[in-house]
Amino acid sequence: MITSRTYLLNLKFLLLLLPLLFHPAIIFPDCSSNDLFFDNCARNLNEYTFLKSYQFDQSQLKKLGLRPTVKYSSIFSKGSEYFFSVCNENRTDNNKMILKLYDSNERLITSTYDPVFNRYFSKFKFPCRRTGVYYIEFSFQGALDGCGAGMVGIKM
Amino acid sequence: MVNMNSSKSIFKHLKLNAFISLFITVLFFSTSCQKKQTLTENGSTPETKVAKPDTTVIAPEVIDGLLHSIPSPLEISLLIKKTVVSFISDITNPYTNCDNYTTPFKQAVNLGVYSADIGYLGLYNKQTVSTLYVRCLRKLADELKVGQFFTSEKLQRARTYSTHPEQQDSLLTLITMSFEEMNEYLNEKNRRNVSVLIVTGAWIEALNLSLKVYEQNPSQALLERIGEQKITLDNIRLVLSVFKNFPEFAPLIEHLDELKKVYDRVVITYTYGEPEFSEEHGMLVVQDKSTSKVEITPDILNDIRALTIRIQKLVTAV
Repeated sequence: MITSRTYLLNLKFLLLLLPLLFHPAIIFPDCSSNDLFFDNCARNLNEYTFLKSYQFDQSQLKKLGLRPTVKYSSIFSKGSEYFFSVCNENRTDNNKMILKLYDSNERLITSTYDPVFNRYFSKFKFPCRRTGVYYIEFSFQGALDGCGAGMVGIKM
Repeated sequence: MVNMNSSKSIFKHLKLNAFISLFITVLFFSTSCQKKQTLTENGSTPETKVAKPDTTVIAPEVIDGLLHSIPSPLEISLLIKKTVVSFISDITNPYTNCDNYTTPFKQAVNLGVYSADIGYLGLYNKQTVSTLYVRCLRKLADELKVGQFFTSEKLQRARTYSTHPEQQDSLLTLITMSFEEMNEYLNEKNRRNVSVLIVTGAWIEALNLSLKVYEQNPSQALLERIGEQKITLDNIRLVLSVFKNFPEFAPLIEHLDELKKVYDRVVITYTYGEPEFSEEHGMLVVQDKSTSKVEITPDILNDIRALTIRIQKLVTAV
């Protein structure tokens, strides 16, 4: 266990090393400081089996001058039921993480946020009927800084 | 497309002291570590010519994204389980081969192979034999210096993710979760050659298992999944092409190129349909109206089977 004194000493040492933060190997540090947030998010999967996870730290992207959204590709299979869950860290009403799912032609399939009715869903299920590449995009409502995680589960 | 830290990063698992150590290690040894790994992968000595990844083909960030996009072996095992009720024994790579994989190339590719085997065994609740395979997987992971992703603490943690925390379910979660973390770690350490081999090995074994199961229990759903591997094969070939200058990769790439030629004869057609939505207990449910259809003749299937057996033998030979 780290004592507060050791912690401060380590912190000072860490600050000295701060300029090294942008080494390519550590360019995207995690916004979540412990396992608890991730584990709680993973528990949302319930009867679905853990398949993939994504972490999204918008402030890091902004610092690096990158677009405040991030998009991943993933291959999903026909006949499988996928479950998507998003978890915000320090969530406020105006700062929710949005997950958008697109097909291989980048046509929007669904989003966790419905701007027409101003409704937010933290999870959705997607029974896939078409095998192929899909795109998962993360952003934050109102382009505010935020940190969160996205989970994908599959039905056993 | 921006590829960033896509899953739980290594930093989350380290306390501050370890984090600082990592800084120092990364700072002073990153270049030498990369070179050492390249040498090891290459099986060369420092005096011989060193092969380097051809990053002009694909940027490292894109490789990471492609690797993350490839379905885990768990998915294909799930499909096998869904379509075939009975377990077929003796179709996995024997765990007794484990000790004979002594080169990093063989260790990495067979770490992938065994992960697919564990997925298959786990879904049929073959607990005793699964344990032997897990031991083997841990051994290979230790040899590759990624044993930290397959500890019993990890298994305990994986157990809490499921509402049905019986052993096998947790084991599958552990394998999937650990793979994700391990690949991310390897990519951060510029050891993408290792992660590419692990993912490739897992995919080859999953395809091999599907073909063997299909041979004994043919089903349209499984046949379509075998045909759909055309999409994943494209991604795997793309990431492998970065390492085409590595002598040990060459036979594997050549075989997969041959397999690609066979898969080119598989026709996949798509029909787009506007998705519909409903709500179940506050959860959004997407009704996918798009469909895909796979056309694969018995001749093509036989060619895929013959080549997959050859490739599986190539990677698992001791």
